[in-house]
This record gives sequence, structure tokens and C-alpha cells, in this order.
Amino acid sequence: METLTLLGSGIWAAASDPMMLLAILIGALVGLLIGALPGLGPTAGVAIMLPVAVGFEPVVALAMLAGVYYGAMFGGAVTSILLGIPGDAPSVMTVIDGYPMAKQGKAGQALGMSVYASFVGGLVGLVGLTLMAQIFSRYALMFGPVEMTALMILSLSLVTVLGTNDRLKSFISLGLGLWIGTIGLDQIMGGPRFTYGSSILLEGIDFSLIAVGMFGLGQMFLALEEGPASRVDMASYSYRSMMPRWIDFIKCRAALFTGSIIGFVVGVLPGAGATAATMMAYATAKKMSKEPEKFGTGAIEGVAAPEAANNSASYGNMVTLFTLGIPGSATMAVMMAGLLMLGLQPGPRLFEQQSEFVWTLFGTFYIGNLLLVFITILLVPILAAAVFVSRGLLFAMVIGVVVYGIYGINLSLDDLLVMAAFGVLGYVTSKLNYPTVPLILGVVIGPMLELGVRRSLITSRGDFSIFLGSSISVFLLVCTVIILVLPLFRRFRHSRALSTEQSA
Amino acid sequence: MKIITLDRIFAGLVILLGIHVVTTSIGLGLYRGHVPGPGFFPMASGVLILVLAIALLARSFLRDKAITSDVIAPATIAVIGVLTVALVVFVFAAPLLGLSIATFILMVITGLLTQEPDRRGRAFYTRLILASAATAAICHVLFGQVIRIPLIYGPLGI
Amino acid sequence: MSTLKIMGVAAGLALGFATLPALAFEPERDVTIVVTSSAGGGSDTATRILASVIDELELTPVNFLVENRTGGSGSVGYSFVAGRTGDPYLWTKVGVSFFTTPLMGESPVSYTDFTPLAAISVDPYIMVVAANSPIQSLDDIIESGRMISGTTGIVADPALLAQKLQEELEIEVDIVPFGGDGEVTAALLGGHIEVQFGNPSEVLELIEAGEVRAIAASSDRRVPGFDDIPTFVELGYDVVQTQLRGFVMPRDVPEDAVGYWTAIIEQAVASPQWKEQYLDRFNAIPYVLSGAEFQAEMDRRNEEYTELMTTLGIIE
Repeated sequence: METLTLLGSGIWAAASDPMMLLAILIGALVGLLIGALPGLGPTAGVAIMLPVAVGFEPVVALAMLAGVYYGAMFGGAVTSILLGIPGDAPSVMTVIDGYPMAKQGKAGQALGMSVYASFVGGLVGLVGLTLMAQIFSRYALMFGPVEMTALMILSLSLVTVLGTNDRLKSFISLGLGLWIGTIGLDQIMGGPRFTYGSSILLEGIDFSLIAVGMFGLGQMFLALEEGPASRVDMASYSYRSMMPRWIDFIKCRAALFTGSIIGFVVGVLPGAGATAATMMAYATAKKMSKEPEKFGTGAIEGVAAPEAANNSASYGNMVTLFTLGIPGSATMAVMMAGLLMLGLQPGPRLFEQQSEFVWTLFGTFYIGNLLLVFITILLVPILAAAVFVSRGLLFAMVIGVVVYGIYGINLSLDDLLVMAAFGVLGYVTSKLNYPTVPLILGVVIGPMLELGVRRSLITSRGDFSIFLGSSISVFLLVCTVIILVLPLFRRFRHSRALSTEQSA
Repeated sequence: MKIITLDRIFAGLVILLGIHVVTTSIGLGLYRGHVPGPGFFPMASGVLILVLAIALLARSFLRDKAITSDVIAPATIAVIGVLTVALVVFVFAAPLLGLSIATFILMVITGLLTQEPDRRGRAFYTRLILASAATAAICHVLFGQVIRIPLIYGPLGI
Repeated sequence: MSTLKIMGVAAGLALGFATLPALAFEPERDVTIVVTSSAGGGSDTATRILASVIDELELTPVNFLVENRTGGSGSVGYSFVAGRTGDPYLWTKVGVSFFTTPLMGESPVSYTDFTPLAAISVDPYIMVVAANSPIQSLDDIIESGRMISGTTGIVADPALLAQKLQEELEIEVDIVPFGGDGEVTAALLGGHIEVQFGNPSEVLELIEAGEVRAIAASSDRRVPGFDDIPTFVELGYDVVQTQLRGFVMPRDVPEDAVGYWTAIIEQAVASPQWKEQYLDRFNAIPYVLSGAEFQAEMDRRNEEYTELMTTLGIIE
């Protein structure tokens, strides 16, 4: 109850100060923009704003930085849906159903859903952060290398859900992703792997290059073969069809809710990240759906779940920073630097010593979320009109923005070559019916799995029984087995049912 | 090109990659003392793709049902090739021309290559040039001034 | 002896003549400082604070722009700077990758391709254990004969520190590298590792809140703000390991420009503003070196990293 009072006064303090509102607005808009630009994601966004923000008083500065962070999570969906190019890593999963929806003329609906999902996810994450941060921070600490390994094995088993019916090709795609994830300096032993003397590959291949290449460029190549028949017909779409629909909100409530919960629970874990959370949320939504075959062809739940997850994860990510002073991700490390530069000491006593600061800041998060909903809902019809732009014009503009966006990541033009290679790979694999998602899954989950396994085995000195020594890890491994075995069991029952039907 | 041919070529390439990954991984060291070394995990992924790609190739020759006799039009391959080459040329040309001018040229080329044949015409060309110039200019200001990323400037100072 | 003296005089004369026509260096353009890690990291923070202190003190008429050129484990930024030989308006910040990436043969430039400006400070490490850990002192660790330590990265100062302890304490040290300080602290508090070598500014709060217990500091003297924590040296073990912060310029920059900028850095880091905004806030230890002294320090560090990487089997 006391927490609620504190939160209430925090929200009021944030809402009643025009300077604060302006800071939130600027932060959110910059975040929206950076999130939408392909290549640059939330970490870059917060880093770019850091030198500007430290000129203000602490609460205002942090409100602005956090605004960039959650704004980017909102914005990432825009290009994913409209152009099939993920604006940042956590919005990759949004492409899979969002882009097909846009091509079917349902861009407004998909964008609308991403806004609702971002809002719901944000709200769930915020409630978790503001009311249960202490509990969740203790839970986060229970996840060491062993538990992480088990969680990543569970995530990898999702490939059976995320892949297509062609199991061989799904697993080849996964294997390619796992290998790509090992490129760069080995984080455990320090040596380079598969870098072929190129310094560009030392830090591994930036996930944005893969995502923008395979989805963005690959889609562009695929579209070359589309005839006029697939074109969105302007006459048959009214202004109404561009608008978001409230009914979708009700329809997707299960996907929204589970997505938000998964996002928060995974986002809290140090080193896990929002991208992994979106994959788990998407797979769960597909698993729970009555029509899983629609996923990948424009199922609205496929937009709802990952968007709810990435926004919720962004607040989950803040839990350990505010309760213990532990930054759980690169973005949080930048936020922490911001706190330090402003003369605030993040740590276990921040809540006690800087109570007013923390609650006012949390208050700004609520306001920022509400603000973003209005801004984005208003922008939806305008943005959705992008589908009517003729192909040559659209692709030209996309290439222009992509070039700047990719260059902006490392100030390196060579990254464009890597992206082009992934574009061709994306095209070829799509043509040959290799699913793309398992590859992406491998790239994201693979390194975390490898690090988990090797870190665990260093502490146990090579003894594999360490993975059965923790109850969390045993629980997750049992879940994995269930996920892998259940479909086989179901198929068996299904065929039995069919045969009895036939005999009757 | 027939899809089925491409499928087999790709499977072959994956097999070669698999062999390469496996041999490199052994060189990296599978085990260091009692813990898995740098090559352990790449080895696993290498074996996975190698075995599966061999199985795939075998399946393709023994019984192929998934992929039909579809073909990719030579014109499409040509456009994809030219677009890729244009990107490569861009990477080398941008330091000489400056990022904005090089981007403008790349955009115009992309537009010309990807536009639907029935929608070409003078109106399109005008729009393309205007849109390309505008996008390059906006990106230049956005990235250079607002986000403050050091861009590449050409002889004209832009 | 006398010949040497004469040569010295001759060299001095030659230098004097060479610099006379150019007069003293007067900056005309803004200075760019390239940081090879992303904004918000330790290097970036130190650089930005230094730039703002110089600005505040109005030591020079020009401005400083901090540019983050990340990628390639430092090699992207460092080769950019090294490629602009003779540019008197370009600095870069020395980090661990300044030495280690070239050692791996993965960078076209090495630390010898730069002109040293000045070292400004060193960051010590505080060895901490979780509050509920049975480890109370170094002796407990020596007694158990083994220690599982979490570090930030493997080719890095904390890992080097762990290795030195392995030799000095004659124990077996397992090094578990993590992606960042936050991850290490989380693993420590969760009981997944035994010790951490933490950044003072990050562990200070945890120590005061009673979440972790400090065992020793890795600097050659006690860390400001941690006055009751003994150093390894005080405890009888010859282990000193800190992270060096300093700046270099491209090769062939005119000497008067190097001298000018070195003097500005030295003035800035001697100011109370620097002490308040950086040293006190980040618990760093001032360590000001320039010219040949700084070069010698870099040579020494380079040798240490070479040794570490050879032990790890990364290089031969």
C-alpha cells in the first residue's frame, strides 16, 4: 500500500512538471525514431542521448534516457511491419507476421496491435518493476551459468515450434545460426574464431546486419518476382481499414498477457536480453494458438506476443539496476554510467536514500508509456500509407535509410558488405523453403548457450552433473523434454482418433 | 535456374561449409584441460549442418516432393546480381564521393532496377530523383546533426 | 662523457632551430577524441569528463568532440586514428584492446603506431566476496587452495589479476569470464562464483549495503574511499594490477602540438574540478605520466598482456 502511495506521488510529481513532460516527450520521440531506423537499437539510442542528458538535473536526465529506451521498443515495430525490416534486434519476431499483414493491406491493424501490445507489455513490466522489484531481483540472482544453460536449452527446443514441417531444413537453418553465432572473439578463451584475419568480424556479426540483410534485403529481392496481382489495391481500402481495431485487443488478450509475463521474467535475468524473450513469447503464442498454422502468414497474435514481450522486458531489465546497482544489459550499463555521471550511486540503497528520485522516475515511465500510445496511434494511418508507394520508390528510400542506419552502428561501410551477403542468403533460403526463424534463433540463443555451458563447466571443472545440481535447471530441463515429446504424443493420439473415426 | 538445381547447389555448399567448420574447430581445440575449448561448440554446429545437409542432398536425389519444377527467371537473378554489385561498388565509392552523394546514386539505381515495369515513366523518374535526393538529405541531417554520427564527407563537403 | 654532452647540445640546437619558425602551437580547430568503446563505458565516461573539465577551465580556445568508433575490438577506432598521421587535432583513449588486439595479429596497427600524450589515472580493482560467503580473508582462500573468480572478459586486467594471484598465493584459480561487470556481480550475489574483482565505483554501494565483503585492493596504495581495505602488497603478496587510462595521438604530430596538449591534460587533471567530478566519483587513483615515462609504462603493459595471452594459448 505504501508503495502505491509513493508511486502515486511519483506519477503526480512527473505529470505536474512541464520540464519533465518535455524531457519525456523528447526522449520518447528520439527513441521512437532511433528504434524505427534500421540498424540502430535502444543501446545506441541511449548512448547517443547520454551526453545531452547529463546536462540536465538527474530526474529529468534519467527520464529522458529511459524515454529513449522504451520509445525505441515502441518504434522498432514500425519498420518491421511496414517494410519487413526490423528496426532493432528485439523487433525481429514482429516481422514474421507483421509484414505479411501489411502486404495483405492490414498494416493499420498490425501497427495498431503493436501499439496496444507495447502498451500492455509496458504496463505489465512497469507494475513488475515498480511493485515487485525486490522480489524479482532475488529471483534474477538465482540464475547463474547452470540455470542459464537450462533456459537456453529450453529456448532452443522451441525450434520445433518455430520451424516449418521440413524438419531437415529447419535444423540446418538452426545449425547455420549456431555457427554464425560463434564467429568472432571467443569470450571464454579470448582467441578469434572464423574471423579469417578480418578485424570487422572480431566482435562477431552484429545481429542487426543479419536481421536487416535476411529480412530487409532478402524480402526486397523476393518482391522482384511479384506481379501486379500482389499489389495493394488502393481503391479497395478505406481510411477505416488503415485504423487500428479495438476488437483485436480482446482477441489477442492471451497472447498479450503471456507475452508480457515472459518478457518480464526473461528480461529480469542479467545477460538474457529482450530478443530472446520475444522469441520465447512468439513460440508460446504459437503453441497456445488454436490455429498455429496461421503463424508466419499474418497472424495478429504473432505481432501481439513479441511486441508485448520486448516492452515488458525493457522494464524487467531495469530491475537489477535499481534494486542492486547491477546493469543486466549493455543498455543498462549506459544508464548506470548516466546515473554515476549525474552523481547518483545506483545500488541496494538507492530506493531508501533517493526514494523521491526513484519514484518520480518511475512515475515518468507511466506517463511516457501513455504519451507513446497517443503519438503512435495518431501516426499509424500516415505510416500505413507507405504500402501504397510504388515499389521502385519505396525500395530506393529503404536502401537509403538502411545504408545510413548500418553505417551508423560501427561507422563502418564494410558492414554493408556483410549485410549484402546476408541479403543474398536470405533470398536463397526463402526460395528453397528454409525457415529463417531457426537461423535467427541460433544466432541469438547459441552464444548464450555456449557461454552458459562453458562457464558452468569451468566452475565444476568439467563435471557435467552440475546441470542437475540446481532445482531451477532440473525444472527447465523437464519442461524441455515435455515440449519435445508432447507433439509426438499428440500426433499419435490424433492418428488414433482419425482411425477410430474412419472405422465408425 | 531451376529451384531444384539451386537446392542441390546450396546443400552442397552447406556440406562444404560443414567440413570447413569441423576441421577448423578441431584446430581451435575441442577441449582445454577438463573443460570444453573454443572448438567444442562450433564443432557441434558443424557436425549438425554437415550430417543434415548430406541427408538433405540424399533426399533430394532419392525422392523429391517438396520442391517442384519452379524456376527463377534469369532476369531476376540479373537484377539481384546488379543490386548486390551496386552495394559493393557503393562501399568503395562512398569514401570518394561522400556518403550522401553515393547514397543518392545507389538509391536511383535501386529504384530503376526494382520498379514494376508497368509503372515506369517520366513521372516515376522525376519522383525517384526527388525522393532519393530528399532521403539522402534528410538522412544526412538526421544522422550527422541530430544523432551526431561522424559521416563521410566527399569533395563537395557533403 | 664530453662527446655525449656535445651531442646533446647539438641535438638541442637542432631541435631549437626546427621549432623556431613554427613558434608555439596554437590550436585552430576543434579536437576529436576517439573512444573505441561505446558511450557509457568506463573509457567513454573518463574521456567525456576530462573534455568537460578542460572546457570548464577554459584551458584552450577550441572544443572537444568525443567520437565513439566501436567495432573490431578496438581495431576500427585505433586504425582510424593511426591512419591520420600528423593530425594535431586527434586523440584517442588507451584501453586494454589498444594492446591486446594487435597482439592477436588482428589489427593493422599496434600501440607503437601512436605518439603518447599522457596517462591520467589508474582504476584499481577491489576483490569482493558475497556477504554470506565463508571466505573472510585471503588466508581462507589459500587454505582451500582453490578460488572460482568471475571476471569481465578474459583478455583483460581482472583476468590478469586472477592469474597473478594464482602464482603468488600458490592456489588454483578458475577464471569464469562474463560479459560485463553487472553479470559478474549478479553471479557473485547468486553464489555462482566465489570472488569478483570489481570496479570501485560499482562495488562501493554493495559493500556499504552489506551485500558483499571486501577482501583486498589491487592498487599499490589504498583506494580513496576504501581506506580500511588493505592492498595485496600490504597483506604480503606482490600483486599490483590496475587499469590504465591515458591518451595518445597519431604518429608524426609536430612536437609542439604534443607538448601543448600534454600540458593541457596535466593542468586539467591537477584541478579540483577533475578530482570532484572524476577521481572522487569513480574512486580512481591519479597516475599522471607523459612522454617517455608513459611510453615505458605502455611497453611494460604490452609485455604483461603478451605473457597473459601466451599462457592462455591465444598467441605463441
